[in-house]
Amino acid sequence: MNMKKIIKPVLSILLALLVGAIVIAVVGENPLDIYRSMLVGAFGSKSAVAGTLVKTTTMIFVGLSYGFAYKCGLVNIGIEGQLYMGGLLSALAAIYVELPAPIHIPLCLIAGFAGGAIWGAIAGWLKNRFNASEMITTVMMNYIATYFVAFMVNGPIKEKDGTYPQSERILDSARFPTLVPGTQLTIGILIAIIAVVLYIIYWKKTAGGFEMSVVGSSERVAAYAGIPVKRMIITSMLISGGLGGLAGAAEVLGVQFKIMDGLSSGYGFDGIAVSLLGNNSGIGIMLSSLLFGALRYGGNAIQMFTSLPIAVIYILQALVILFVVVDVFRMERRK
Amino acid sequence: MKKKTLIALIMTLALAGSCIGCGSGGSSSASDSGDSGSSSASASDIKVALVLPGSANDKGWNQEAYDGLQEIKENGYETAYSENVEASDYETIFRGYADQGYNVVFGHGTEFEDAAESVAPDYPDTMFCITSSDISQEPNVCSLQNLNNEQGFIAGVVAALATKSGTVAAIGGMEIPSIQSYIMGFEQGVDYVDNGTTALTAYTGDFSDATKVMEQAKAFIDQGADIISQDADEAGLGLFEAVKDAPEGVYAIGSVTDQYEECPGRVLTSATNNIGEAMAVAVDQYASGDLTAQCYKYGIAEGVIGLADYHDCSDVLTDEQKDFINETMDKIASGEITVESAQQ
Repeated sequence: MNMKKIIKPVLSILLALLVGAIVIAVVGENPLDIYRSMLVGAFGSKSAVAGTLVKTTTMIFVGLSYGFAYKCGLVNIGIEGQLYMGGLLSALAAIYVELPAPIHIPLCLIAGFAGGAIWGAIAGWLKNRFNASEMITTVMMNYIATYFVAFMVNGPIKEKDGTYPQSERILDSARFPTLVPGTQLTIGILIAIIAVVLYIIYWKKTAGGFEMSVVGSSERVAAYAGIPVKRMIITSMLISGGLGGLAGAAEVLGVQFKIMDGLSSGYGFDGIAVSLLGNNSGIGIMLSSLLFGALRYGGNAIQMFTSLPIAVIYILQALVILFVVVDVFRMERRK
Repeated sequence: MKKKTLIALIMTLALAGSCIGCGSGGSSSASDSGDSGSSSASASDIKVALVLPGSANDKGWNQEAYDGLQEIKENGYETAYSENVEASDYETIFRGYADQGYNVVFGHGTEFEDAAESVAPDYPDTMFCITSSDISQEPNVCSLQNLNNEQGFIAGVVAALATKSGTVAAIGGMEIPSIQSYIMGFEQGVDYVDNGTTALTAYTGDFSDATKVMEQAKAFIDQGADIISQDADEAGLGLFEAVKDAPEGVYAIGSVTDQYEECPGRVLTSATNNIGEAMAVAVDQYASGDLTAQCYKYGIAEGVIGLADYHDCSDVLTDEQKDFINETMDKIASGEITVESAQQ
């Protein structure tokens, strides 16, 4: 069983690369060349590794976010929106509150977590109160969140000088300290790893984690065992949303240093694939985050430095995701 | 079981959505050799990259820069570009090009200012050049600003000479400095001709809503304007819709590129603004070691701002009037006429 857990994701990745190679060959390029430049783009230099790890940071948060809800039997497709709301609140705290760095950064992180958590909890409440499917409500709330942020950066929090719709830059005291000088790598990756550790401890060692996974297996059994299902659902959406919010906070505090329209380029949806490929386990999510981080960053490199048509790169990224989903179909049937 | 299948299906849809997400975050490339590692000993030792916020074939802002890059390529430089780059990837892409030893990296638009300023100190050997901006940062961030005020000025001169009703108009998009400069220039141009012509101006507030520009143009026509100009990017196309239905004798003046095709027979001329040309000039300056950290302003003198052909509206203006327009442009180029601007 344990072997299967490892073999399946590896198999999906290999299959994706294989089919991807065929697509590249059909276009008339050498697949090995393309894969090599992708690898070099993702890990070939100090700044490439740093860039990959920066993307990995975001992937870890969104992956944990999806995984947390999934383990409680919930499908949170609203990570994108939670990311935006978290980014917004943490940006507000980072721009308008003046504090020394050791207090300011944690405050901004809490604000980011809260932003996402509120957004997630609303979906949880709607499910409990009106039996509204969280799959639908979270998707719809993505739009509200992204457009709300667009409204904010076009109006109330738009920077004073300059004409581009974005907020003021965050205060220096709120910026994540850089780990490797001259690169974008910040302590964000460490915070993400801490989150992974807490995630593992929660699901493996605590009573709450156990009860929540019972709810995830079967709500009826959980209710029969006296577990407060509704409270579990709302807690799960709260934390799942909060993790999504942290992804936004990490982007604002560690990468962009401001909030603007287009803070995320679909990261929230990557979280689904990251978590599924990682089998929702902490370690698995961390490893698949690294893969998706490399895909994202190395993908940029392919687009910049080879003559491969843009569409092929999208196909490549989609194939990896597709084969992960195919794998899921199989696992669902086995149960 | 059924529910599980449903869940899986919905997740597939969501993932498909995520692929679209990836898609819009992407970029593409046109590398000369396809192998960035090889150092050819040809004239193309200087590598130029262009980062676009939109599609390279958008028939507007982005395409203008892309065409400029093609010109740079024809001049013998090695080029690459990334299109549809999302705000979250600006810095990443800048760093990527700089890591690969690109000498000049263009960020096409004001939105790239912050990214250039924060990336530049790490890459002293790369010149970051932002278009439509006035920033500079020692030693390696410069900007290119086209003198829209001169562009507006010529349009104003042409309009004032061509009008029969004594009323002309100009419509701007978003009320930002670059567009304000165009409108200010237009008013100054009309005043310069000094024949009692009234200039009406308005802003519609965005660059995408062509209907608003059309409505505004119709309102101006109702007020007696017979020559109308615009500077509103895509939205400006609404002007030509309005002119199509207007009574005889009403003409449009296009902007940025020669917009004659938008409404043949009713487009007097266009006040052109060739950002691509400005980019090519900047790269040549880099090659000769003259590109430094400052804001470069390009106007009529550099051949970046100009006037398009009159096509079949040639008889609207007399030859003396055309000569007057050419003389005025020469005077602006030589500095004899200074045009006020909303930009620093």
